[in-house]
Amino acid sequence: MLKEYVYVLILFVLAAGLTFTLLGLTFILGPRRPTAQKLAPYESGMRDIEPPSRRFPIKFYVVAMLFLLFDIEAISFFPWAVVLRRLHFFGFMEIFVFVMVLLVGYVYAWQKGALDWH
Amino acid sequence: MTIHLTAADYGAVLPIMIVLGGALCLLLTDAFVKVHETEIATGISLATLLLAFAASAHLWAVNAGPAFPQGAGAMITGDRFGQFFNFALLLSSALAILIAPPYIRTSHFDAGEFLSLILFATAGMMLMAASLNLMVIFLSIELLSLALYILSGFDRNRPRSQEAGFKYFLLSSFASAFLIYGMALIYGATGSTNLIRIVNVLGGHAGTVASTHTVLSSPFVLIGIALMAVGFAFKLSIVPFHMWTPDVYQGAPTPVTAFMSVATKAAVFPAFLRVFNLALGAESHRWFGILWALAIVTMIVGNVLALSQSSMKRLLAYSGIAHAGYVLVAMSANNRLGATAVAFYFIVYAFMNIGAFALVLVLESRGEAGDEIATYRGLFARSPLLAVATGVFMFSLAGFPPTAGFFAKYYAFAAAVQAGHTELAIIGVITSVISLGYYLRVVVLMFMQPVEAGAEQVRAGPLSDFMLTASVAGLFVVGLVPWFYNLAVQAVQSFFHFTT
Amino acid sequence: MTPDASSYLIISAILFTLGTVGVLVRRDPLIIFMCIELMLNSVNLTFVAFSHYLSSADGLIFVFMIMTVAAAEVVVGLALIVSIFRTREDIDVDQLDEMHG
Repeated sequence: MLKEYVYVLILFVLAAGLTFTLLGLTFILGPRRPTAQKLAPYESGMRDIEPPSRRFPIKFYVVAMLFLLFDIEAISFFPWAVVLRRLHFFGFMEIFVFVMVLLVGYVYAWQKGALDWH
Repeated sequence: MTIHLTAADYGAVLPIMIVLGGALCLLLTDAFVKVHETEIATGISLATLLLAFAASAHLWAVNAGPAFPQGAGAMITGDRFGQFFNFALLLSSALAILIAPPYIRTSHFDAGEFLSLILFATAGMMLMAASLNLMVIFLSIELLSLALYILSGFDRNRPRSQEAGFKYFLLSSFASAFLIYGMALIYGATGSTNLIRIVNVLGGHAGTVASTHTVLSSPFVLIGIALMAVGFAFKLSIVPFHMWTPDVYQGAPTPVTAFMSVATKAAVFPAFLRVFNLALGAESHRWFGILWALAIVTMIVGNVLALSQSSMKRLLAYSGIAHAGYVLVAMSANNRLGATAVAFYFIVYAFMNIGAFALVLVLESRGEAGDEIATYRGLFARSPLLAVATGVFMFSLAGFPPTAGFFAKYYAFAAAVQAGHTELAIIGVITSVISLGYYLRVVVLMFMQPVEAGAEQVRAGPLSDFMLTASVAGLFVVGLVPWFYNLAVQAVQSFFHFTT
Repeated sequence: MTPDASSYLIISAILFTLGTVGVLVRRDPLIIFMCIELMLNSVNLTFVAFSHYLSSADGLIFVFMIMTVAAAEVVVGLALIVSIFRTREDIDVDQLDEMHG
């Protein structure tokens, strides 16, 4: 029973280790030349004199919506992953078709320029 | 656990898969093709519909009996009942696409996007007509609704279109919530979302989940029925859940209105029938009262409110509400004749209603206020073909013999009489007489009023001409040739076979 | 005392009612939208409760479907709101009265 959780523990250790290693490496190896501007709350752009009243560009919404759509599709992979071994080739083909349909949507969004920022 | 799917299983979903595949192709067309986009996209979508029609006809030929390829656990059926509605749906989709190209050009729509959404909606509708599981009904109703929200609001430059899309979206998703809450309660009461299992449980067969658990029982079933009725009634624009209909019909691009006014109902009614007459057939004493009241209110309110409309699209919206009431009469009869009448109604309704909207479109595309009923004044002098066609559609919608509209209504009311509910038939006939008030007003305006000075001739495009002539011919042929009615009878045999 | 199925059903019924009332009384489309999501999620809770009680997986699969569809609905709804925003300053459902409905 408890033995099964050892793998989870290993995963935790690996994840934490990787994070600290990467952060530590940048901390040690990265050059640091602080200036007043860099230490300001917003590093670049205009000074923060007043709260922004400007609306977000529509682009933000488009990207957010696309993210939401493709993100939630991941939910469909979970039940599939659970029974993957028992479904054999049939399950593989099903998910293949599913991914292909998603891919058509992706290609469409790409071609329509929904992914270009400018 | 291995899943064995036979060729018959794939066959049952083939028409739907074809339409979905066509829709995806159109998306790619829209992304990559830059020249003659409208022509190419229209061609692809019509070819797709034709192919799906062939697949559907093949299924019809193969599945003479009740067809539940995967046995009692089936999600989808390829039975003749579903195929019959597929024919009606493919027909209305094709008619709507035939009238769309001029509108697409003048409004600068993305043809691929627009037509692929229509195909997605069609696929959802076909799935709905074929569904045997509450889950599939929910998924398909959402597939068709999501596509229709976008289509209603497709004209981004017209505030009315945006408003229509947004209103439809808010109210429809509100109704969806009711629908699935009802489904959840039915699931709780019966232990399954599968319609066939629900029949077995409510039919009182031993050894089912129902007999081993006690949570279920009556309140859940009753509330579930009421909530699902609300959800379905909304999608069918049945009074008192019809408020969105006139606004959405008026605001949406006209080809979309033509399509959704027929196809949504032709998709939701078979599912409604499957859920209420089939799965909940044993509970008919509980739902009959609800449907009875809804049918009466719908017929009266739809017809009376239509009298005072000055916009043709709104008039047709209220007329559509009234027609939903007539179909509801046939459905609440809960017998074989009733189901046949529902099926037959939609073949007829596809021709007359899309035809009527095609006329609105032709007049609109001339830059006039084609939506106003006043524009029809003296139309006969300006375009005899259009005027005669409109006249036939109006007479058929009103239910004059020998047009098919008469026979459709006749069977609907006959079913109610056969079930012993003469009062429904009487109210139906009385409200039909009221409906003459607005249908004939249009006819009188066209034929008996002088044309205004300076009005020019009206000419539709070749595609629209073809579509109008075909619809007019269809209305007489479907009414007078018994073959079509026999088709509906055969379709319903596969459906009712299974309850006994 | 461990909660039984009926507790979950009552909670979800309350949530569903809250959502319904919210849709009917609020005027901000985004809030209405959230209320609809609340209704959908209360249905999810009902499904999970029933599914557990009946030991059947149908309800759980249904929940997956509802979640996916809800996301798609959010995207379409936001797209419609954004497209209206482009042409109007702010939106309030009471101002959507272009047609006399």
